[in-house]
Formats: sequence, C-alpha cells, structure tokens
Amino acid sequence: MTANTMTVAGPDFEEAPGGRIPGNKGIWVGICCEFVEFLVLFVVYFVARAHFPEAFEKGAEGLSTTLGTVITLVMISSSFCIACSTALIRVGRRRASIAWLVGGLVLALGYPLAKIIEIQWNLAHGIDGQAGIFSGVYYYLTFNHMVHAVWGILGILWVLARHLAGGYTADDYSGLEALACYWHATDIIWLVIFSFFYVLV
Amino acid sequence: MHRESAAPLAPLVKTWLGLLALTGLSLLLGHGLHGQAGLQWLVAAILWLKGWLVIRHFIEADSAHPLIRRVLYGFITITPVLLLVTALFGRQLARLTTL
Repeated sequence: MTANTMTVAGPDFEEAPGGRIPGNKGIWVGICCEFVEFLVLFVVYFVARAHFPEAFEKGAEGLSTTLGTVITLVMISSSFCIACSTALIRVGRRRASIAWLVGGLVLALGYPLAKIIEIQWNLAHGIDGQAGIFSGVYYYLTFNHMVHAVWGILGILWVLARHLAGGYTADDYSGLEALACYWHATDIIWLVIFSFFYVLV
Repeated sequence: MHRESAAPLAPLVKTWLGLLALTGLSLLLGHGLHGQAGLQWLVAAILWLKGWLVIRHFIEADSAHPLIRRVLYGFITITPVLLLVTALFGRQLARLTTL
C-alpha cells in the first residue's frame, strides 16, 4: 500500500475531486446509514398503509396535529439556526456563530419536550402501542426518530463545548459543519414523518 | 487568517420562511382536502419541495461531491414517489406483500 492510498483524511479531504465534502466523510457514512434505516421503516409504513388504509386514515385523525406541528417548527427553526451558525463561522464571526448554535440547541431541546407532552396526550386518548397497526407503526417510526434527534442534541452539546473552547475558526470548522449536516438530515426525515402521520389524514 | 465579514444569512432566512409557509400550506391542504385523492399528490409535491430547500440551502448540496448530491436528492425523491405508488397501486402492493 502506497502512502497515497493510505491517505484518507487531511486538509485536501474536504475539497475532493468533483465537489467538496461538507463536514467530514465519517458523518456522511452515518447519514447514509440513517437514510437507509428510515427508508426501510418507510417501506414498512407503506406496506402497512396499503393493507390497512382505513386504520391509517382513522389513526391519523386521533393524533394531535398541534404537537406534530410544534415539533416540525422546532426542527425547521433549529436547523435554520445551525445553518446560520455554520455560515457565520465561515466568515470569522465566532461569537455570532456560537450565539446561533445556542439558539439551535435551545430550539432542539423543544423536540423531546414536545414529544413527552405528545405521548402523554396520546396515552390520555387511548393511543398506546397496542391500539392497532397504525399506532404500532407510528410509535416505531417516531421513537426511532427521537433517538436520532437525541444523538443530534448530544452532538450539538459537544460541538458547542468545542466552539466555546475556540475549536472552530474560519479555516477549520469541519466539526461544526458535520454536526449541521447530521441535524439537517434528521430534519428532512422528520419532514417526511410529519407528512405521513399528521398531514395525510 | 482573519476573514471577518458580512455573512450571507439572507438566503437562509428566505429558506426558513419558505419551510414555515410550506408547513402551513400542507396543514391547510390536509384539512381542506380531507380524504380526497388529490391530497397525496399535493403532499408529495410539498414534501419534495421542503426536502429540496433544506438540501439546497442548508446543506449546500449543489457544491457537494456528486455522491453526496445523489444520496440527498435520491432520498427526498424516493419518499414522495413511494407515497404516490401506494396511493395509485395500494391494492396491488397489499396483494404483493401478503404472506
């Protein structure tokens, strides 16, 4: 193995031939795995919906559209804040970048909070894991997404700690950008879930 | 190297407002077209558009490596397509997936 073939990371890594790699290669392996996992879950959703269309129409009517919308607004706005944080560090505005990242974290924390309220609301209305095929698929998909979102929140905390310690500059912000990419991907997946469970009623 | 200058936040603000507007529109359509066949088409279109906005402006996929672009655009395209396939061929899909 030559030195060239062993080099998988370095300053020129992000500017790969054909286009740059936002963040780093590792995060894109994770994002691809996340997409594959959710695609499998979406296939389960579609097969279940094809078998039990009435159960899915009735089931969606029982969910709280308000809480689903709150989670959507939180995800979109948090993603926006983190995108701003990345754009600002790129031009050297470190303090503003940190402030936007804190904003993104605060909004992101609204997700588990809204989810807890939603679960309590569901249980009060008889929507538990044994309420039928719809609730089974709904809990499986949304719990899985929440796990991914919690990983993202932990990632934001880590990146914020590094940012406060001066770990990112206009010339080196790949860690912040990697976190941003993961959070945007998790946002996209939530937008799909929102459409499937809260809009298609 | 010191590169402090104005950050281009305006496109991000526009994207965020667009995402909020599309979320509101999808909710209005969901209530207004409750149970109607055309709803799936509109939801699929809005879903693709929201995904495109995030990918284009938040992730900046257009300047990314082609493989990353393909993964992202593939993901946001396949889910609305699957939604339409289920809406159009739900019975056949159910028959194909019956054990």
